[in-house]
Amino acid sequence: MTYAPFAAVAAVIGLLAGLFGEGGWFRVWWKVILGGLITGLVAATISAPISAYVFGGVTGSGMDAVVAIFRGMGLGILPSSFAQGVSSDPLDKAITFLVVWLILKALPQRFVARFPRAETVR
Amino acid sequence: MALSLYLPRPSGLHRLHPLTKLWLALFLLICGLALPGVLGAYGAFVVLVVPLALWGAVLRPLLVAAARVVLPFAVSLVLVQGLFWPRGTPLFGWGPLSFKLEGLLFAVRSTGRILMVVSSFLLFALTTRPDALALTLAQRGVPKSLTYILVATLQIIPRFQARAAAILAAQQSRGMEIHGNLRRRLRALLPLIVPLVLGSLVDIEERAIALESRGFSRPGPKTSLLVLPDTRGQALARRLLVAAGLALILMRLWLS
Repeated sequence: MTYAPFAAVAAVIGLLAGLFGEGGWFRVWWKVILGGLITGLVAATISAPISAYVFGGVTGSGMDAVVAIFRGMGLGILPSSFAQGVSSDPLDKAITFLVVWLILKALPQRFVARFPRAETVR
Repeated sequence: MALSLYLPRPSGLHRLHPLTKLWLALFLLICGLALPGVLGAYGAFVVLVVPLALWGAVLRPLLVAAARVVLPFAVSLVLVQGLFWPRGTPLFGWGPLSFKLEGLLFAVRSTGRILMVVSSFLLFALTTRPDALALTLAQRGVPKSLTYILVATLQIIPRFQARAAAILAAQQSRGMEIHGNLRRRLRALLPLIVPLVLGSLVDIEERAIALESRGFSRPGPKTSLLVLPDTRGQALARRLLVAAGLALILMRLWLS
């Protein structure tokens, strides 16, 4: 519920994941990682202003050590928040996308075929 | 395992139309973000949120839930912005590390904002039935697939937790060890995740069938057993809330 202000970010991540799936990017592993990295960059860009304005630039988690480093280097709150996002979100989303890809591979073909547009991911 | 934060109480706040409460929560959110000064958001919390929560008989659960969310942010803010505020006025500290006045003031102000963001949402969620919210949105012409996504998202984490707890209990009853050192717990992860993911995917299909059997995609108006009483006073209150919220935003833009 704290993350309610980030709803727009989640929506964009979902949209991008859907577009990458539609474009057949979920068929090959390296395109999956690339899609995750791009999604992470976009997510960091949209979430930084929200994080800086609503949450004072912190996330309430261990990643705040990264924010502290950038603040200590003299960066402003918005740039620090963006730098924290860029340093963690692409990796985070790439791993998430890869896990999704692994699940898709592990699912029985018969089961996947029951979903609409299953052919775009297999 | 509860599927929502909703707490049924015989209060006037609970009986308000969901739309009224939605606008109220948005207005409180704007108050938290737009009120000036270090203590502006705290003022809104004491003057608006606390009396409303008392009226709704949900003050205690609201405070407990809000504290659980806000405290990690408060700690982070004091440490990150308090210690690492560039070129701030040092107040006290040890060696090269010192708390800066500007950073601490910023941390206090930001904590107030987060408190208002969280408590405005909590006030709405604690006093509004999820199905009443879905019905309201549908009645106001929000596409039903969008309404479904919204309500399903709110329920997905409690559903996942309930399913995970059931799987863990089942695996434990078959003799799987889930406590102990890191390696043992990692080994317990796979027998949890596989049924969790597969089960949730099967769940999607079951939900789709359940929704279709209730005429989800059937066009045209539908009758609902749930009746949401609305009054002219509340309609007026909603307009006033919208106007006051817009005024606050304009004031904020004009001030800065």
